[in-house]
Formats: sequence, structure tokens, C-alpha cells
Amino acid sequence: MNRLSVIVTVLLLSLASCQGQPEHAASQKLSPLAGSWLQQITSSPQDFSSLVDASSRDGWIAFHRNDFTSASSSFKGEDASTRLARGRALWELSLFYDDAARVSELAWASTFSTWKERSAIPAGSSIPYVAGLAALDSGDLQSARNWLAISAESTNPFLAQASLQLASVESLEAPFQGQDLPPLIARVNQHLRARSTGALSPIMKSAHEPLVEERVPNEKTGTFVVHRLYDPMLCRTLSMGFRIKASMALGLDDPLHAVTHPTPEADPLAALLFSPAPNLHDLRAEGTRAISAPGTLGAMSPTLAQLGLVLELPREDDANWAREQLRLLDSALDQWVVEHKTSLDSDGLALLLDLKLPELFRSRVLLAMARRCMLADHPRQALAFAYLGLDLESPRALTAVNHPGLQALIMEGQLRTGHTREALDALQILLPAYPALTGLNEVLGDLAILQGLDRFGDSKEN
Amino acid sequence: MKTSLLLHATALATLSMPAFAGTLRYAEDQAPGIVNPIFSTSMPETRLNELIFEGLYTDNQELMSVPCLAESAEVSEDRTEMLIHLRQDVSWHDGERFTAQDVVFTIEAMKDRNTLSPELGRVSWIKKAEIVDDYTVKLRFDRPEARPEDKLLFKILPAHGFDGTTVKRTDSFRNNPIGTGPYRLVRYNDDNSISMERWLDHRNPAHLDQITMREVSDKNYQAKLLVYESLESLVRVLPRDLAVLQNNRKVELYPYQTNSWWYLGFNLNEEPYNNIDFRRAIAHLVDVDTLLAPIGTGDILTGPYVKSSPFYNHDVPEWTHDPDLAAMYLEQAGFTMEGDQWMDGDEPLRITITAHQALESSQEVVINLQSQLQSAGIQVDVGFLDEATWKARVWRERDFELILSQWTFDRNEDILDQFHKGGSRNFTGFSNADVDKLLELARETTDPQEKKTSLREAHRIIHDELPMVFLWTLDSYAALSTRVGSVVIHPFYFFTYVGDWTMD
Repeated sequence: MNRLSVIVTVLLLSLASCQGQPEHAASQKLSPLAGSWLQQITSSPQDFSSLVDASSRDGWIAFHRNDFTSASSSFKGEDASTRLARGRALWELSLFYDDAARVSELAWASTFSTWKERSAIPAGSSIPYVAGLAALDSGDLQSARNWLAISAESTNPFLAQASLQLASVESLEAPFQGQDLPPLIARVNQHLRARSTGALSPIMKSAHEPLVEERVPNEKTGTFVVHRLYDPMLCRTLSMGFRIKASMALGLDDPLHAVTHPTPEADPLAALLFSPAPNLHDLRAEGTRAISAPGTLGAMSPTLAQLGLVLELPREDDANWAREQLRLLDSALDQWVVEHKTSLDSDGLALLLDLKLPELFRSRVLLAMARRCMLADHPRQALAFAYLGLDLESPRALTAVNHPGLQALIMEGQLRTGHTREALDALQILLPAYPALTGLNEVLGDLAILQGLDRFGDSKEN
Repeated sequence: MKTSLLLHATALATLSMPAFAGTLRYAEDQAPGIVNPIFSTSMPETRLNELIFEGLYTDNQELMSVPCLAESAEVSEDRTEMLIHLRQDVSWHDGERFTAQDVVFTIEAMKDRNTLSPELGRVSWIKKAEIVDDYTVKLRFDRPEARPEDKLLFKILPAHGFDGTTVKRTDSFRNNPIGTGPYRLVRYNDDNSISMERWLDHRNPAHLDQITMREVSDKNYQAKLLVYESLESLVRVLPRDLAVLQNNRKVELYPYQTNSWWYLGFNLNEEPYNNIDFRRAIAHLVDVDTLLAPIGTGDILTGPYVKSSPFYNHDVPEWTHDPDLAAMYLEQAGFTMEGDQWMDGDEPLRITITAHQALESSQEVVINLQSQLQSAGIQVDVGFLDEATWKARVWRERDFELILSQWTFDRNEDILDQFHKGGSRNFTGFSNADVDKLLELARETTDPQEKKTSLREAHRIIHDELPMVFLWTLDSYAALSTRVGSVVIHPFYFFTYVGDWTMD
């Protein structure tokens, strides 16, 4: 258990044993954040305590430090608040893997096309099959057919048969039917079932292992090269599977709606706590707006506009704009902290500081803004927001402030701006907590190598 | 105390300097020893070169090679020849026209064996460079080149600045460098700072009027000077200062360069460093966590790559801090313990650790290391060398026992120069036939997975053979005043896009 967890645990235990209502002075000046969950739980720590006690203390500790896997399994209860909390944790996992899936699609497509361009793909290799599968799963039917036409000629009957079966469909939706399916097609079926049922266990079991491992002769050296080719469908499957799980926890087909419009039985704080939406009004407004891009929830909340931020994206992908927006946000948050801090009792102050609530809220907003920029094809702004959201006290760790989505977006931003090697830096931070990204790490590594094949490496001291 | 007073005086002098509008002042730990790109060996030199000089090609912001001094090019069908048409609107900082002669001169000067350029490898693939006319150059290659422009990023020198193709480090050019880049060196100042001003005849003049490189050897002062608005840029912030600077609303942090690692290198041509048992003993005596703690956060490494590298072998274990194992290896190496002191025959075992005085926090690390080894019974002398002495003793004469230093790599992370028997940066004298083969194969192959496999294996062997104790990579960020806008930083060369930077 890290230091923060200890602090949080002690804090929560002390809160649980709190007797009576703490007195606190009303804010003298109403900031747009006055009605936010940040203000609510610091002004009335008992609200926080009630929610935590009623659902799961461990769950909220994990949620606070962005460990959504632990959080989702800790929120076991079936009351409305606990289900909402569990649904939010699973929803966060879905969004994270959705970010990773965008990187994955780009990485697999770029790697194999660059590989083909720069280096002959060895005859008999499974590369064209994996490339075709990746293209088909990302909806690039033409590329898929081109690749699969090559692998269909393979002398390996299983590979040829699997290629023909993939080439016979226009998209990957319904599982393939029939007896004695080739193992590669059986694996595709596992994905398709997981995407529709949320049954992720069979996929997760082998998530960090190669889909294909093959020995390919190197004619120049007379030796063999071992190729390890990873599963390009994985991140999309995890995203879709966790979405289904979130829906099941929330009891609605649309987890976004369930999260943004909590039922009257649920504690509204369960929907808001540690989120980028300051209050229920924002959450509902955002829920309506973010239907087509749920990961951007919190990027355009009315409160942000009241804080002075410009919610319209500029036409150009200008990172300076992102930095200006952050200055506005920081200024508003600084002002709120200064004004609000004086009115807090010791418990409220401890919550504010020990849980790093202003920093956490800031990073959640920046994450949502980064996602919004990324989806609007503004990767430089997205990169700026994501980097600015990191807590540099421990930049290589996933912490309460350093949400994994920030690193996923840094990875995507770097990749989309040509900095493949730098994308690996972000991925390295995610790997210990998300071993399913092993294949993505390997394929991005291949791409970085391919992009530098013709360069002389440069090295200098200091 | 004297040093400390001097630092205070430097800081105060810097504080009292007025900031001219449009002047960007950046800090280096030490001023570049030489301003000539074909002798560049350090990052401060490389950054300065980026301001003053240009290549035929450069990286655009997506890190693709795009024409710079070249205007266009045609590659022959068999890809063994390249005709390069040069820009005709380029002039050197002394007003002379840039022509094909300068390109051919630069290639020949770097290839000239008497030049002794550590950058020779950058042109060794070019069989011949010929002048076709004033603004056209033909290059012939040793073998077909898929993307020759990717190799034409080296800086071009003015032919008229030298007497012949044998270029010496001591040539007067070092004091009067002439480039075609966006900034012109105008003055070396008494405080070791270097003043540059915008080259107005540049085809695309930069926005900032002046750039000043200030030597501020104390990293703690660098951060303070930035906060006091006496500097506009730090190229590398110590990890321990990151959180403080992040909370300063007048400063912006930019991620910059992560392919750097610190190491403790043995001189394998000297006893007892040529003894693997002795090296293992040192590796087990070094408590890397404790050495790193005062500097800040970073990753501890087991080999010559950072952990995010595709070549890093994650299966290789760290050398554990284990004094008992170290003692066993010292005995195997023939040393004996008398009292609490290891003896080399009748004499106490005594070693010397040398570091570059400009290496950030090196004094702290070396003193801690000295303390660790002395408490284990090894007497340790320490030395800190200035730039010129370091280059002479480490690079040229290989006159050292143990060195503490840091390598920084671009995104290719090519370690051949450091670990191949014939590598130009192989100070330690490491020689291993298997590693040589693996490094050569990695350069030759176009199969990314073969390259990865080869270099991961090289990592394993180098770790086991222990020419160096690999230490750590630090979290690396640059810091700039919020007054500086449109900042984009190249992940290795830093100033590549400085022409676009603006200042309020």
C-alpha cells in the first residue's frame, strides 16, 4: 500500500468515526465552483463519509488512485450508489481501452505498411494475416482484402483457411459459424463474443501473449528470425467488453446516460465524486452533449465557461491555445482554493490537501479536454493538455492525479505527430498496470525501428 | 566556500542584467568547449550548433526529413546516386554565398582521416561528393540507399572558413564560427556566456532578436534564475525541481528527451578493472537507489537503454546491493581484507573515480559513491574534470580508472559507437565478438523484430560482461518562461524549431 493509500485510509477511518457535524463558515464569495462536489465534500466531510461507508471504502480508495480494476471489483453491493460507482469504474476502463484502441489501430496499420515498404515481408510469414485482421477490425476493407489475398496463398493450410474466411466478410460482427474452425478464427470468435457479452476472461488469459509466434529464415545470414505477432483486436475488445460490463452494473444499455442521469435512489455524489463534472447540472448537460464522444465528458461543462475558459476549439491545432486555457483554469482553481480554504475545518482541509482534490479535478478536466482535442483531430492540443495534467512529483507513476488516460492520450498524440519513440515512453508507464498493452508496446517498438532504419543514430555526452 | 561565493556572484550578476525585449536566455551547466559541429561530443555543443548551423535536410515537427539547405533532390533508379539541388538564397553569417563547394568541402573534411572527427561515421557511406555546378551536388553511395535524405542531417561548414579539408579542433573557426542558421554568434562574454543575434539575411528570419547561452554550473541556481525571471529557459530541469516549477505560474514545463542514461564506466585496459570479479564486486557495492535519491525520480537500469526502448531487455536483473557477494568477488579477484580495509598486495586497495564537472549533480553522486565504497573498505580518490581536460583524458588518451558520465541518444538509440570494438565512443575498451556481431546485424537488418532481438541479446551480454555499471535515467523536462510562446522542442537537438518561438 503506498503512502497516499495509507493517508486516505487513515483519513477515511477518522471520518467514519467522526461524531457530530463540523461547523464551517459559508464562502464569502460565490465561485462557479461553489456548487461543486469539491466544495461539497470539503465543506461537509460527512457527505463524503456517508457515501464511502455506504458503498465501499476500498472501492473509493482505488477509484481515487485511478485503479479502476480494483475499484470495480471492490464495489460489490447492489444498492443504487454502489452499482453506480461500480459502473463508473468499469466505464473508466472502457474509455481507457478505447483510447488505447485508437492507438492500436494506427500502430498496426502503420507498422505493417511501413514494414512492407521498407523490408520485404518474408514468404510464408503470418504478417499479412495479422495485418489483414487489423485492417478488417478497423474497418479498412480494401487494405484488409489486399493483405488477406497474400496470406490466403500461404502453404500453411490453417493460415490460408483463416485468411479466406476473413476475406469472406465485410466487417467483424457476427462470430464465424462451423465446425473445426482454424485456431486463428476461433480466436476471432472469442473476441466477437466478448464484445457482445462482456465475457472477457478467455481474452484476458492470453492478452499479453503473441497471437502468432513463427520462425522465419533469414536468407542473408542463414539463421532464423523469430517473429512474435500480437493480437490487433485486443484493445477494441476490452473497450467494448468493459462497456457491456458497465451497462450490466448500471442496469441500462447506455452507461453514459446512467452515469450522467443517476436515479433518485442513488447518492448524487456517487456520480460526481472525482469526476471532471463539478455538479449534477454540468453532468446532465454534458451527458447530452457527449453522446457521440463519451470520453470527452467534462470538457465543455457550463461551469468551465463560467470560469472563463473558451469552449470552442480554434480551427488550428495550436498548443498555445491549450496552455492559455490551462492558465485560465489554474487561475480560477487557485482563486477558489484561496477563498475556500479559510472556511474549512480540519477534516475538510485534510480532504482537500491529502486527496489533492484541486489537482485531481484539474487533471480530470484536462483529460477530458485532451480527449476532445484528439477526437477533433487536434493532437498537439491534446498532447499539451495531457502533459499539463500530469503531476510531476511522480511523473512516471499512475497516481490519483496521473490518470492512465493521460498517458494513453500522450501515447496517441506522440504517435500522431510522428514521435513514435516518444509514444513508447508513455506506454512504458502504463504497462505494469495494463499488461494487455504488451502487444501494442511491441508493435509500436517495431514501428519506431522501421521509421529510423535509414538514420544514423546520434549520441552525445551529458 | 570560494566556489559558493562565486556562484552567488554569478547569480547576482545575472539577476542584475536587464532583459532585452526578444532576448531568450537559456542555461547550460557548462559552456560548449568548441563551436564546430564536426567535433561536437556533448549536448550543450549540439544545442548551440542547432542555432548556428544547418544541414542539407532537417527534421520537421513530425520528425520527417525535409529539405533545409537542399531545395530538391533526385535519386537514381538503382538508388546509388543522388543529385541535390541547393537553395540559392542562402548566405553565410559573414555574407558569403552558400554553394555546392561548401557541401563537398564538409563531406571531405569529415572523411579526412587527419581531421579526427568523431562524426566520421555520418559521411562514411558516401563514396564520393562532386560539384556539378554552383548549386548542384552529386553524391555517390557505397550501396543502394532507401532514404538517403535521412542521413543528410549533418551540419554544413563554410569552405572559406578553413585552409583545407584537414580540420583541427584548434582552428580559428572555433572562435569565429560561421554558419547559415537562424542565429549568428556575435560574442563570447567574460562570464562564459555566448551571445547570438538573429541572422537577418536568413531566408526565414527567427522571431526572437537575441539568444544568450549562459553558463550556470549550479543546477539549483538555474531553477532559481528562471523563477526570478533572469533566464527564460532551462534545457533540463533536475527531477527534484519539477514539482516546484510546475506550481510556478510563470513557468511552463515541456517534456524533452528521455533516452539518456548515467553510468559508471571501467577502463578495461587497466588493472584491476579488466578483472570481471572486481567489476562484479563494484556493481554489488554500489547502492544505486541511495545514489539516485538526492537527485530525484528516475528509472534504475540494467543495460545501455532506457526502459521504454524497444531494445531494453526486461528479463535482465539488476545488480543487487550485496556487500557479502561483493566481498566474495573481491577475494576471487585476489584482494584480501585486513581489518576493515581491502588490500591489493601490501597496499590498500585504492581507486579513482572521475567525473565531468558539468554533469548535473555529479559531485553529489560521486561523493556519495565514494562514501559507499570507502565504508566497504576501498579507498577512493575523486576528480572532476573541466571540458577540455575531460576530452583530452577520456576521449583521446583513455586516461582514467572509473568514470561517472551520461550518454544521451536520439531516437535510434544506436550503441555501436559505445560498445563495438571499433566504436569511436568506446572509452572503456569493451570488446566482445558476440556483441560486435549483434550490433552489426542490428545496423544491417531491415527486419525490426530481428533488430530488437539482437539488441536485447546485446543488452544481456553487456550487462553480464559489465564494462559499466548502468545507473539510471532521469525524468527529463525543459522549462520555459510563459513569456515564450509557440514553443516546440526537438526531442534531441532542442532548438530545431526555435525560429518559430515568440516572446511577449
